[in-house]
Amino acid sequence: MDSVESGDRLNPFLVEPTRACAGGLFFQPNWFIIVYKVMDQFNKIWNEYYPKLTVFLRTSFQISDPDDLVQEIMMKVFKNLNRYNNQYSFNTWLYTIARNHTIDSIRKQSTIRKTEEAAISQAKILPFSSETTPEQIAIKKELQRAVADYIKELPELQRQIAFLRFHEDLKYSEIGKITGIPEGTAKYHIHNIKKDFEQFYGEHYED
Amino acid sequence: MKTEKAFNDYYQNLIKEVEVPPCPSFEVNENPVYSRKNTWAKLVIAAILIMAVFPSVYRLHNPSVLAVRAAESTKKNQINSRIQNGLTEFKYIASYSFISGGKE
Repeated sequence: MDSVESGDRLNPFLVEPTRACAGGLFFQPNWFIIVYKVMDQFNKIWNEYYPKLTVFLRTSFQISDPDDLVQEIMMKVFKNLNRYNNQYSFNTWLYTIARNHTIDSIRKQSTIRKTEEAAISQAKILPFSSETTPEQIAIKKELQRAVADYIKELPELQRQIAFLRFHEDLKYSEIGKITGIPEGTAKYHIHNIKKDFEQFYGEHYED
Repeated sequence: MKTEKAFNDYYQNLIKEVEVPPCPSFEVNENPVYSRKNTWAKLVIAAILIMAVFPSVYRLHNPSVLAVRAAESTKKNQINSRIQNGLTEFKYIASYSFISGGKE
């Protein structure tokens, strides 16, 4: 399977799924090719976004076992592919669905286990590349522990914003669309997170 | 920049740990609503096919229908022959009256 770097390359409309739906599919002479391409695209989306969504839900909403929720979201994404507007970023569309679905599920079910320890307990420090010195490794480990500790203390909205900005590298306007806040507010939150984290790191880790 | 990288590394490490289950196959339809819809769709298509195909098959093999058809075709033949006869008679009268100049 080819690795896919950007969300734009995952555009499922390259295969025109609107033609592939319902009655249109039956009358297509090359319908099996269309179905195959749609399935292939979905497979790529699945492999690309499943881990990202898992971490997004785990860190932002502090859900300890988000597998069921992630699968529900992926199914929802696949069913609504024909509603996706090509002009906008696929990332924005997907994370909007993920966020709304998660909020709805949390409201409906009180059974979703939320735990403060979810993020930190599962964040094992993976081995770094051999080029780094032991000192650098120690600093990196310390930094990651600091990030995990800091994220635990953040409010839910800021945790979402942090993931979308620092991992997905989304624009402020896109973060605003996903979280339902103005662009300026998203920018303000990011600025605050950076400032607060530096302060937090200085107070707790740098001696 | 340092903060951004620290956060990014943290998320990357978490993502690396996630085990991705295999992509579900759509051959297995687990949604009961869709299964039901599918069943209904199949039933409707089957009914339409039966309604479209069965009467013609019934007509082809039913002796009474065949008898009626035969009778109809005989009647048609009779009518045709009568028309033909009438035409011949008319032609004959017309030619006769033309030759005789309208005098008998």
